[in-house]
Amino acid sequence: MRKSSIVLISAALAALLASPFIVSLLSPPSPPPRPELPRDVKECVRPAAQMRAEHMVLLHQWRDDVVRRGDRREVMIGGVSYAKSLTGSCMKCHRHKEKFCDRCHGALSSAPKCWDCHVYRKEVRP
Amino acid sequence: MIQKAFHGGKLYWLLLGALAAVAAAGVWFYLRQLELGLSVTGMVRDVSWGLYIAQFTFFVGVAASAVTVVLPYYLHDHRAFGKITIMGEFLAVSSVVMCMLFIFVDLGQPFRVLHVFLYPSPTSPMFWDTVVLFGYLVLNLVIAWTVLGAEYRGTPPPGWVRPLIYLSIPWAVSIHTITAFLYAGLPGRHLWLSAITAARFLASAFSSGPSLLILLCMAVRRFTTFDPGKEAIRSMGKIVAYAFSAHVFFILLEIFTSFYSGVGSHRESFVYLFRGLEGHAALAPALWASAILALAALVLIVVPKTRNSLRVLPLTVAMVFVSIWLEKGLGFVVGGFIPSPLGAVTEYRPTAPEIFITAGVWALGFMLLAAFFKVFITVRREA
Amino acid sequence: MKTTRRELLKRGAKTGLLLLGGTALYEVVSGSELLTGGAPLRHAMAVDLRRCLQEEGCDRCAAACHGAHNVPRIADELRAVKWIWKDEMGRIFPETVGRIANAELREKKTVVLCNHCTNAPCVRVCPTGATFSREDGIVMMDQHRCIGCRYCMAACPYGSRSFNWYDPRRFLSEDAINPDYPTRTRGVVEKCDFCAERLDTGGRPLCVEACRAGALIHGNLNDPGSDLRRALQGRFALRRRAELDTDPGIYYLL
Ligand code: HEC
Ligand code: HEC
Ligand code: HEC
Repeated sequence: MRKSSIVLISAALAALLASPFIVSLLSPPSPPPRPELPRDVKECVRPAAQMRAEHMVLLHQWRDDVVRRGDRREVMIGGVSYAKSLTGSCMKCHRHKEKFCDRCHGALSSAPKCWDCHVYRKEVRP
Repeated sequence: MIQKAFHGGKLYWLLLGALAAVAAAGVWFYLRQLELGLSVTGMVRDVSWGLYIAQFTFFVGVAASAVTVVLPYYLHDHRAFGKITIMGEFLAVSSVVMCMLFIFVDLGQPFRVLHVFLYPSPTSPMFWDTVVLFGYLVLNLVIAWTVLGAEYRGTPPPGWVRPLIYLSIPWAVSIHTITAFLYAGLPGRHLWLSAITAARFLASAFSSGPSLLILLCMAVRRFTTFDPGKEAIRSMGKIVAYAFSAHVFFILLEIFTSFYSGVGSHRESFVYLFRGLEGHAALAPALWASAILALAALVLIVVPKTRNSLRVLPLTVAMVFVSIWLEKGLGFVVGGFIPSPLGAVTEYRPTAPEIFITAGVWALGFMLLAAFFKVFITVRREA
Repeated sequence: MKTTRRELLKRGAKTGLLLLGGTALYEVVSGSELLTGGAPLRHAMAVDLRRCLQEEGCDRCAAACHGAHNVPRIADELRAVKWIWKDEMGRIFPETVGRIANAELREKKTVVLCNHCTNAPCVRVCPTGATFSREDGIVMMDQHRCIGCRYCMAACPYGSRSFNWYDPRRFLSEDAINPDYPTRTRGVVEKCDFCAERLDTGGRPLCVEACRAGALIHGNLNDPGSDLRRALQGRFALRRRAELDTDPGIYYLL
């Protein structure tokens, strides 16, 4: 291979790798996602700021408590007892997955695989 | 040095192109498997491992067999192998890569593969197998690349590779022993539950691996300017003769214990493999072919005249390779599942997607091998 | 997995005793579980064959279990997913019932499920700890961790494990899904979990509740006063492939 062709190929590769960053720098900033908050309740399991940043940590902790440690003790939120459960508690307050979880995750193109197994059904909503 | 892999004649590119085409077909079928699940394979509830794991088991053997050239050269100073130890090590590297790919395509949840390291489970042979295979890959890659690199620069290899080379010898034994432990510790699978399984695996490895290496050396001799030397090839023939005799002997030992003891459950899998159970005998032709090839090859490899003839030897070792591939790469793994714990006889027939994916992994492995050999041969020619 | 403080204390205490008094003392103490008080819990179950074999064609236990746990109904028997099902006596006990001449008994069907072995091969071989033994004897599966290598299926000497060759949701109609229990997804292994979700909250396994004949008896094997121990009292019981020393927790009462 000649020197020039090596340089050309490297430059093309570099451009390809950098393209996502360039595109995102040039495009206008997308508006922050606006998940629809529950209206009938005031509190989440933890303070909202903490939930925003660390809800996956809490979910994983609940998951391990329930599945691996057999610890299914319920948690109290605003005087009401909730099971440590994705569908049985988070989704009891955040009833609309599409308008809540998916709004953020969609904006971040992050798609947790939980729903492959955990059942979210529209008719589950009361 | 790696740039040498990108310069080659028409034949080299034709070979790579053909292999790439097969690999591409494999990738396409793998994407379908990802979408549809492992239902695209012939595996079922009762025969839950098939071609993939069988190929994995077989190629761990090929990988381990690098030791059959490394050991005589470095411990016994067998000069004839000086020309081919690096080829053996590159064959090991390519085989380990194939093994890993076979495990990977067999997983139901491939995206979770890192769980093996995130949640290490020291009671599981599968965990240890992953660890030793990774170690073996790194060892052989580092050794072969360093030794060849030194040759390329015209300097003696650095001192620190020696201890690594010595380490690679027991390590090679360990990878196949632990692969055997995958099977040999399972209660209720009588074809596998045998203390001799690891020994059997090593014997079959040390016959199938050098057989493949002999064939590769013959191809290199024929199609390139590099000659591994007749003496090296004949020496390997001798190794195959010993190892293959042990292999056949070990199988006969298994058959003796299974049948003479009269314990039904110990016998059933063998009966299934060679004669069939309840009218199901899909694997019998393959197993008989394996047995007949084994006996014919045994004669040809033991008799000095035929063993030393470079005309007959390729044919003989091809027979050895096919015989072991059928016995270990098909019969052993699938046969262990039949009959099922509830006595059902369910047959296994690999499907087209499964065969294409398997061929794809082979093709990827051989592409890697071709590139390695290309680098090796170019360096040797220029040095 | 995090260790709770109690477990840690218990382990520390046991190690201390081991160092002080040698193994004899250790065994006495851990046997009576001084530290937890009362007998350690070991969930187990008996199948009263006299009752179960009477109910030919009954599959209420399996229907209840599979319904509640969203087990897909796959027509292709070779790739079916099963937690509890009925099989022939002769095939369940090949070494004993399978060899006797009485064809009638050989072909009679009774239930099989995960044996929740104390010394479970599937637990031993799992490369990620997705299958594990709980202290109360349940062999549990963590669906989040399973990589689908199917080593446990090769290791289980009872054929009690199923793999999701297909996407199971294809075989579950939308309105038959129990939303309170997750389905599984393609590429993971699954099996009976002894209704851990019910036992943990003070309930009994669903199969036991569903059995009209009273043939399934669940209880604490270590508690001499439990229903299970009373049922086992004075009767001869078989366990599947006991010679393999897996120590199954399912007893078949003759
Ligand atoms: C008792 C009802 C309730 C439960 C149960 C509940 N949440 Fe919330 N959640 C709320 C409320 C109310 C807010 C808004 C709080 C605020 O704004 O101060 C909220 C806020 C959040 C937020 C932050 C959203 C934002 O943009 O501000 C996240 C993320 C969240 N919840 C996730 C979860 C998850 C995950 C679970 C299950 C582990 C869960 N919630 C369980 C009621 C609940
Ligand atoms: C305020 C925005 C927001 C809301 C609302 C939200 N998430 Fe998230 N979620 C995130 C962010 C940010 C991440 C991290 C993304 C990543 O790491 O890819 C995340 C990650 C996760 C993860 C871990 C990702 C993985 O693959 O394991 C889970 C699980 C999860 N979210 C569940 C939920 C559930 C369930 C809800 C609805 C009850 C929810 N989230 C609502 C922003 C949100
Ligand atoms: C392969 C299927 C599967 C997937 C994928 C899955 N789960 Fe689960 N999950 C289960 C099963 C089965 C249980 C056990 C339910 C029980 O025993 O009550 C469970 C239980 C849980 C629990 C505790 C009990 C409950 O009802 O919620 C939490 C929390 C949980 N999972 C969170 C998650 C999160 C978060 C994700 C995504 C990152 C996820 N799971 C993905 C199958 C799955």
